[in-house]
Amino acid sequence: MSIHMMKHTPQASQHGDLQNEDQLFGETTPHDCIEREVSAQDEALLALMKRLGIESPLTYETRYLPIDRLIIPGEKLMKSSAGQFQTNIQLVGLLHAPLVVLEQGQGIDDPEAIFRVVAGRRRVAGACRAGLTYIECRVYDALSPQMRALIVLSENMHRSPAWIEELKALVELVDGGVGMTDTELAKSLGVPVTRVREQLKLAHLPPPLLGQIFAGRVSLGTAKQLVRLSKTQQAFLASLAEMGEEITAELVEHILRRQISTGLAPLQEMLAQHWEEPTMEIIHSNGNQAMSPHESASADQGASGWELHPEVPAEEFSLSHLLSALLAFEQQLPQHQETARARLLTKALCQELEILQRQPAKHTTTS
Amino acid sequence: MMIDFPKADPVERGCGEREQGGVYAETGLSPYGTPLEFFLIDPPRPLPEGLDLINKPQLWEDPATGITHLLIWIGSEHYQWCSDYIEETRRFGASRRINPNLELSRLTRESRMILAHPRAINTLWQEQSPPQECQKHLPRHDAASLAFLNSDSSQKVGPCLFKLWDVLPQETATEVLELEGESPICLRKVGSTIYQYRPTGESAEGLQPGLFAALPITGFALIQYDDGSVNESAKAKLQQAGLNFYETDR
Repeated sequence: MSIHMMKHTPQASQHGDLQNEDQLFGETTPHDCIEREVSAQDEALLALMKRLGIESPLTYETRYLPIDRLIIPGEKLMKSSAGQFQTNIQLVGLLHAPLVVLEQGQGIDDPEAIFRVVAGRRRVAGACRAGLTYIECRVYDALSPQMRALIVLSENMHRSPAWIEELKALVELVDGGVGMTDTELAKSLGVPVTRVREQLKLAHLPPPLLGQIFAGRVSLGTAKQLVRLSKTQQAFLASLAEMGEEITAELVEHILRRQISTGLAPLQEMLAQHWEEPTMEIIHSNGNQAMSPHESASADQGASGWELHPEVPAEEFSLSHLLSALLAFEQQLPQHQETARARLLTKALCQELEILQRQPAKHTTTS
Repeated sequence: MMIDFPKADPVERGCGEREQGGVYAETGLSPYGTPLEFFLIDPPRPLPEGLDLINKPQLWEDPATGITHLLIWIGSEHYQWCSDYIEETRRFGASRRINPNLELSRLTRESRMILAHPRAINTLWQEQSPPQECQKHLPRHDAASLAFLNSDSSQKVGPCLFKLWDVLPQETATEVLELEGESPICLRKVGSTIYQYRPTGESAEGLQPGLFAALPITGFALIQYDDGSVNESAKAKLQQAGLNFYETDR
């Protein structure tokens, strides 16, 4: 089988410059556009690229490689998902070339070279199951650890997460001291910053706990609960992990519940005080559905006009009468822009009066 | 015989109208009930580390009493300020939608709705003036108490929940009433609630999440679908637990 090799830059491919080269077999010369394109980048991006160990935009080659020279990290953990790809690949072929980087060998032309799959592990595993022996790959001859991590994250964060590999990549980025902020990382990956922050919390778990996660012994749900534990509790579990204890979901949940209960202790004291001062929850004496003060005020109204009831002397003008009058007044106000303020003020006053009306009446007894 | 119990007003709230099929925990109003301030948590308490309440109402069993309470987050997308929710509850009672798949049978008549808000705790209280009045009348919380005790403001304690009204920005008002020689009165409208506040101009930047109320659950409202039916599994759980509930179209 002939080896198809193509070398281009991602930027050049965006401009369609390589459409003709797609038809060629054998080596093609790279476009001399790298320096011009680098200089066109804004300074912030250039600084970020330097921190990622990128001196110039990445170059790669597209090749058909034998599957048996590809290492798939974490292959054992993806049996079921690889099976899904197997069927799909048998039907439609491998639609997207996986990304691989030279792992061992004298160069990508070395016939004994071994490559590590950076992105597209399930595709490769699925292709293997589907019986393919050669697959088209995008080949990088070298990638800094940080850049490899960024590619894994870019690949995974846009799809359902292969969360352990994604986390490993993020830990590598963090440990590599690239010094990206969460906003910069989110922008680089093209994902919401909230997602990056959640992942970063996982990446900052103590190393023994991360070890358990990378070994596939901790589910994603339990890992997210670990993040919610205090540093002290995390350190405690890390020491257990170091002693060889299993960090089970039940253990983590138990510690988390205890932590929350401890945090709610001040609330317990307050509620305990309340029990010592019993509340006065007495059902409304009507025995029917308790009317809101608003309804009861309206029920008192009766007449359609908003004038005061002529038989009520001014000195005996009660709260409920005032409330009735205001409610009637509010309903009668025309709905114009000019009356908006008056309506708002009237409503506000009605609500304040309703609150007053609900307050327990102060009775005096005379003997 | 149908047992009566206080119910919340089915008005439009800050979070909108109640939805068909929903299950709502309520704190109803009664002219013979206890003032709302009794159930407010002052000073508001910080959320325990690790508690994830946002969009996830949860049950919590108080180990001291064995009573299970409901922990609920009041989001700022509908109630921008903690005072918005308190003022709505003062007028219309409380009504919070809960997940009907919760173990409602663990709740009892002593259960409380314990509410959290992202802007309940004022962390800048020490550099600000005390509120004019703490409505729970806690010593040294407010200017009135400090004056009564012949103490100066450096001896105040806090944070006081009732300072939250003072730090509301004037810009957040629906209507501002300018008064000659006095600070303006602001009216703020949230849902059906209109309440007043008088901004002091002090910063609201220090507001942090906290627990601000522990309201008694007087009953549950089951909102009917168009055909009059309700969430039957929730109804069965409430019946089994012996809790008050009623069915309503809104």
